[in-house]
Amino acid sequence: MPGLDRREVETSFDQFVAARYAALLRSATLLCGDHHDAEDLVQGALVKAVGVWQRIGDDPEPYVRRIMVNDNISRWRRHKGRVVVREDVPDRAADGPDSDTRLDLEAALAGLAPRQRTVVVLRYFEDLTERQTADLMGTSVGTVKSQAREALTRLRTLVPGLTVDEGVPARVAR
Amino acid sequence: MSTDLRERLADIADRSGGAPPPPDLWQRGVHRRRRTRVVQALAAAVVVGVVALVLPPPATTPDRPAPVDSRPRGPAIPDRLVTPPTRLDGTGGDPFGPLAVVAGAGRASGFLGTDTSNGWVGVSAATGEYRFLDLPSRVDPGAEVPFLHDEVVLSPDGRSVAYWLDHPDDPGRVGGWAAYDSVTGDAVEHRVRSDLGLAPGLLTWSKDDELVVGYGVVTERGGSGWSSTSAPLTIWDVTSPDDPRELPRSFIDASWIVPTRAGFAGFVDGDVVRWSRGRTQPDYQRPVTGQGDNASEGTISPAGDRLVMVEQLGTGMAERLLVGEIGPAGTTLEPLPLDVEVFDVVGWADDEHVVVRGVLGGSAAILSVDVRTGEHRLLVREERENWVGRPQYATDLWSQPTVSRPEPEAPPPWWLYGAGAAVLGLGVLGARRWRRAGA
Repeated sequence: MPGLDRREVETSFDQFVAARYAALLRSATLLCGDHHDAEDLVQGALVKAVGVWQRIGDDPEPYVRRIMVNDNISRWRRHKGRVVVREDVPDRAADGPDSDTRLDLEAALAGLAPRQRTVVVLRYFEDLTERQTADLMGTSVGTVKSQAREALTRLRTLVPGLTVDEGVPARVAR
Repeated sequence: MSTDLRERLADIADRSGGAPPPPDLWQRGVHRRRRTRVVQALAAAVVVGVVALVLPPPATTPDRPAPVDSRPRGPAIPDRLVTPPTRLDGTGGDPFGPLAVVAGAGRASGFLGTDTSNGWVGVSAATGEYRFLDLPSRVDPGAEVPFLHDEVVLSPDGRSVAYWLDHPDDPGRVGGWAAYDSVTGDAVEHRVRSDLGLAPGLLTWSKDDELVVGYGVVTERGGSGWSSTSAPLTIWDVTSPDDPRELPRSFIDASWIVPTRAGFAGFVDGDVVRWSRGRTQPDYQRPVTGQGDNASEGTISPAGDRLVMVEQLGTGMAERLLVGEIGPAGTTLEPLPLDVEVFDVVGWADDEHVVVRGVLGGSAAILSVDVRTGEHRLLVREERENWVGRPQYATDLWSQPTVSRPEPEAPPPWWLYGAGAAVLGLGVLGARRWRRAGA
């Protein structure tokens, strides 16, 4: 947004926040699994984006989302020594989609590695393509494919009856 | 409640509520930018000072002898796999011997090593040491190449690592395949001439120095994809790399292929097909029943007389093992009583024990399963995060017990040494100025 004065840049930022805050918060809730962490994540990303708004203001959302993705993974790494992820997820769920003991998808998502969880959110909630997901995460399409495959395998294990409107790539035995 | 993943995710996202954004985000951003500039300047000074204090002297003799490592030194698979540090050493021109495991893992990249790219880490069979494999001319891991199967595979004896080569005109396209020798550090290449590159398919070892390779030749590339012609499956002997041979056409539609002692076998359109080396035709092609509609992958015992398949119990459900003897009339698969979930077949420990990847205690694990009784035994705990390619094991080593190995440790980043040198230089400069001022 070259040529704009400070007031105009700030107005552009405010307009973006007003229009996209709720959508960003929905994504962040899925990425974090916690509403308060999600608010922190979105606000942190927006605050960071201010410093480069002059440069990204024409299309700021990919940049903001990328900060969210990276910050969320960093946050998870900082806390992983204190937060037990796997042990609170039962090994095996009971039969039937409506069983009381069935694992909730939220608990199953909490059992995923952060990159796997991010891939699931971007691919199956945001409906991004594998290429778009890879670009946003700063990784390769191959990584996205493998992370999605492992994540779906684990989700299907933990949430019986879960369906995904997409086939899992064929695998080859060793 | 819907069982569709997309709808369930949307349900969770809806719980985010409608909290309005705080009104001071812009101001907080402005303050943060100012703070960042100040902190960056201070941090640079502090880092330099701290480094000067913590850098160890360049002693070459340790104060005390290193503790004796009593762990087994023979070739073995470690009983635990962990996420490797991104700054592990690479093999470079210094190979470190036969490998027990290779697996995709994030590798530090960029000037400061703060970025991460897709690397492949090898674990020494002799010591358990982890190092990133520097595979010569490997296709650019960030390229838009669809790998439908494992893109890097370890030979049964752990000595060779097969991978896809880059294209001479574009490092993001596939131009052939190669086998890296983990003992000599050399790579034997086989390039296939093509204008637009290859579409990589199957890449699997049929014995220690023989690969089965499937690929297509890309004929057209566009914004939304590509089209390719498929070539017959190729047998490629590392010891005679210029003489690839076509696999019997019975295998061309194989959904998976595994080595056996005599040759290899595969699963083709509902039949099991076995082939012995040196023959022009398969030994047999026999029907398989009892696998249902969801048996995705499988394996055949080294003797070639027993079939094991992984069956998915309906859409999105868990998976189980089916086992059947391969007789003259074919194979009838029966479910194996097993109280753990499995989702991959990995190899065989012997003709009665199949090695699988499953879930144990909430995390991935490699298990040995007796195909006669369903009894299982833990072999490896895969305590891993952010792996970008599933671990591959030197399957010959499944016949031996797994052993405890040390965890990998990464060296400090190079810039820490650089900062230390800078501190030293500044210190010398300061001392000279002080002496001059005193003089």
